[in-house]
Amino acid sequence: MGKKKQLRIALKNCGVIDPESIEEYIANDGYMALGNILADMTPEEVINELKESGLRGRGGGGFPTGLKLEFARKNKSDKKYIVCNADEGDPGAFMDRSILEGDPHSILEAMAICGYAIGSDQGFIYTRAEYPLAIDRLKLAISQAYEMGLLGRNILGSGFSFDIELKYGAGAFVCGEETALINSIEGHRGEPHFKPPYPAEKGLWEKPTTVNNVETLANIPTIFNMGASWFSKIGTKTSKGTKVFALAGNVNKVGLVEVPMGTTLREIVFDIGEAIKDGKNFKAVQTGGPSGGCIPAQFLDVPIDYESLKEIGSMMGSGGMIIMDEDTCMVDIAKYYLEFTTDESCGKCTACRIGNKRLYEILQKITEGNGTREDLVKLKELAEIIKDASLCGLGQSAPNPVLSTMKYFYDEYLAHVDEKRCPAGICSSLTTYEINKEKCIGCTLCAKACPVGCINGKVRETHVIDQEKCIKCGACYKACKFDAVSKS
Amino acid sequence: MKKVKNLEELKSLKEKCLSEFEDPKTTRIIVGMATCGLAAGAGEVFDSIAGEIMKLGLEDKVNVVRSGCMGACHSEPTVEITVPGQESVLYGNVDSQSAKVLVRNHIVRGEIVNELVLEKTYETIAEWRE
Repeated sequence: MGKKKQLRIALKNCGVIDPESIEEYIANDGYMALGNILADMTPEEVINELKESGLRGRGGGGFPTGLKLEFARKNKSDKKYIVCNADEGDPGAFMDRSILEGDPHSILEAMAICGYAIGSDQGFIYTRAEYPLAIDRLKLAISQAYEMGLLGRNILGSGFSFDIELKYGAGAFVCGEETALINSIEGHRGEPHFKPPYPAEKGLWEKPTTVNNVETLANIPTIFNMGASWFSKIGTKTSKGTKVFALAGNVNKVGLVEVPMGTTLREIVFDIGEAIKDGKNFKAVQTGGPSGGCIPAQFLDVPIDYESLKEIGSMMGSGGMIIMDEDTCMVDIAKYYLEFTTDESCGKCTACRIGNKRLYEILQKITEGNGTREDLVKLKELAEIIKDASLCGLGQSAPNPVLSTMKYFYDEYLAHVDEKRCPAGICSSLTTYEINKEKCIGCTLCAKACPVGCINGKVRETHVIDQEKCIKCGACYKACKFDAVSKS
Repeated sequence: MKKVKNLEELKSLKEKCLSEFEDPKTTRIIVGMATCGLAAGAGEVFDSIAGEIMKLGLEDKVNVVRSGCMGACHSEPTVEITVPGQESVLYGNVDSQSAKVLVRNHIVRGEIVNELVLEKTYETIAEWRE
């Protein structure tokens, strides 16, 4: 492995070429994979090459891409579809947006390759309407590709034709789930349905359909340009190639990183992210967004791949990675993700619609200092039921943030319940701010910073916080230069 | 744009595009202009660089490019300058004022603006292969 820790395959053109110039894409091997495939390879050979590469879905599921195409190829039909899932919705994740904005042609080329592999002549890109720049660049890329004959009828004289159309999502998180996405493209409500039948059998308009995530597609042209054996040398035994992560939270160097599978969390957080901000201690890393879990420090040296993350109670997910420092309350984090999923649940399954709401309410009760031991038992039990009884990935994974924080940070739950104390000092109902008489010099900075005017005191005299009026915003704590405001 | 009719035509088009892309006479300035960069002010940086190039009459020698995300969210806006025959240099936290300094110092005088230099933290496919 290279000394720089990062290797760019999916992001190879991002920040390198002008995404609005098809010529610059072509200069960097663009459309060469498609050209060679159409000239020299059968659809079966294309599928075999992808199977050999070991590429798996980067949207989170990790299903082998070659196998997915093979299923759709085997299902006979007069019409088949290729769908690009660009409905990126995890909080803090922007891998797909960056690829669409930085290298739109790679997605078009990969979709045409997939179309050739399964025998489809029509592709759809389902993207969030909230990504206006990505949409503009995709539109431009599509029109350029048509103009050059790299999309449309009889591509490069091969007899193969492929069209691509854009479809816009209205921002519902559940539409990232493939059956809900298909419903949405058809003009129906974005609700998932039971699988089987899988999209490979009955997908868009009941026709065989392959749905692939943006990052998965972005890898495909390079796999053919460099060869499957080159690609499969990168990564771990079960997970090949690289993964893009949106590194966010309390690290010094936040950013978009692409690392070979098998890189450890420690390498990402401390080498690439250059450690925790303000010299604080690492507490946990959240991967997989609202479907994933929080991973504590004891697993920092686990090589990341689809299997290892699952084993430690999280998941690869689409690539959101949020680093948390010692000042993070894990109960509050679980509550934050639950708030997101209750908002985004489509409401079809009772377990997800009502169960998650109840989970959220229990968490709220705990963070307000009214939780009991019985609530903790109920929390765990209900979380398991929601996982078992929900139809789609959203419901099945929504309790993960609760379960993983309970597993690794149970002492924090106990502190909230038994001692009515928030160890991180985040839960405002359980936090009090006080001014130390010895340290306060009466500089009035805290009183000036207080938004509700609840700090009393004259210049050069000790100040006092009126606990009745205090909203626990922490402004005085931050404002004091003499370390006189304490949080407990 | 002319239609590309077959693989041979695509190959020769690639050679033509590559010779323009790697033109040994032109300095290439890339501004990271994905949503993240634009939100941090990359649009103003681009205009400032393009304006300075015009002012100095360097349009024929310098190509200013709007690109996607370079990944360095911690230091947006980012600008990469490649003078032919030299190692490319990545700059971070550029604003419309320092953008002009980059043009005058790096391109006109050949002096790297050290205080804005960012380390490149990834390997390309070609580097990995070697």
